[in-house]
Amino acid sequence: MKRISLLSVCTLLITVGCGSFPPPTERLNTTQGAIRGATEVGAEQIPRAALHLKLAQEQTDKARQQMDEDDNELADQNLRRAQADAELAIAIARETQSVQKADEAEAQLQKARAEVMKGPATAPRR
Amino acid sequence: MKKAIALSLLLITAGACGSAVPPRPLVDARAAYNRAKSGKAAQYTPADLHTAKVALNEAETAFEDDPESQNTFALSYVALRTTQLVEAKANTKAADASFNRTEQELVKLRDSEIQSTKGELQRMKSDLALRDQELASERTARLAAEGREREAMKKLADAAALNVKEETRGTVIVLPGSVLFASGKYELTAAAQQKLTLVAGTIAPQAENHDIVVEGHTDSRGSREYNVELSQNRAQVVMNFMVARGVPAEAISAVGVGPDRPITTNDSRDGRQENRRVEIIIKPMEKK
Repeated sequence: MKRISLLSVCTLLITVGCGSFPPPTERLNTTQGAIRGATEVGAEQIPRAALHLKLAQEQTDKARQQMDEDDNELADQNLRRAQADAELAIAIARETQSVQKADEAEAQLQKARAEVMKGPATAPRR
Repeated sequence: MKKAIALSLLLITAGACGSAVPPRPLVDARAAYNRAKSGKAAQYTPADLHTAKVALNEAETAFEDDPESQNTFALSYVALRTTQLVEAKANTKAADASFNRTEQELVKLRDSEIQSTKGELQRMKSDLALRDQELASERTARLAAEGREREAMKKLADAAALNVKEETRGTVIVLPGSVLFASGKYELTAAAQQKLTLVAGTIAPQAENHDIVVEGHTDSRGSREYNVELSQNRAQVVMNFMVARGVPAEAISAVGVGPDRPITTNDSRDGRQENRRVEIIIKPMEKK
């Protein structure tokens, strides 16, 4: 009797554990959105961002597979990771672009300063 | 059987508590968080830094609950990425701020360049205006001086009954030899001295910016050598007289031309008399 009840409790727990986790459809959508966003800001062209975009895509694929197999909890974990990677890819792409813009402006400023130092070409004073 | 299960549970628990090894992403996340906290993130993205802290705490809690679980690994991974995201955002903001500062510097630089160009232009304009003014007043002064000179010469010609001509070599005053010297001599007659005093009085004020040449001329009688020397001496006498009457010595010179440049025939008495003469040429000095 005791043994049976322990077994049934275990079975119940496992069943509840598996069955109670709903498919992370919403997170899948969010993650796919983030991946699209990363592609749109040009993450594929920036090596450091491209790495995280790739990780995000791989983890999403895996999660989709796990959802098919009803492994919803693992799928959710993979989607969290994928979302974090996709968002990081976006941030890195923006960072790279901002740094490049700042560097270009700085170079322009240096050039302008050098020209001022050279002095304007004016007629000799009387 | 039960004992065995209890023992193994105990072992697992002891193992977990005593020497649980944190998953790699958690180690990295801790390090990344500390780096972000002491870097740009604290200044530029404090709110995101807090989000990262929350994610890290979640991972730490999961690790305490169950170090080996998939969930702990996933939360650690998310915490690491969240922290890296914070750093990227902070770097972005720092770069944007730097960009804005640089742009402002550029604007300032260009403004000051424009200002200095404007100033330069203004200076050049006023220089030019000043020069125009100077030129105009110089021109007025020169015209006035020329007018005065002409006036003076006219008066001189009238007063001393002298022949004053405008030629390309300058203003030429012709003094007939008969008036100045007795034949063959080179002492000035009283009448000559009177006329030359008038001439000197007219020339002296103009001498500063004129070259004055006194030329002696003779007729063709006698040897050329003699005539050249005579004309030279006569020119010299006239020159000395002029200097004595106030014409600066450095502005005047004397030349003996002799019979070489007659103004009329030497075949008649009248012609020869006309050829015997002293010319005073007053020529404006070449502007340097």
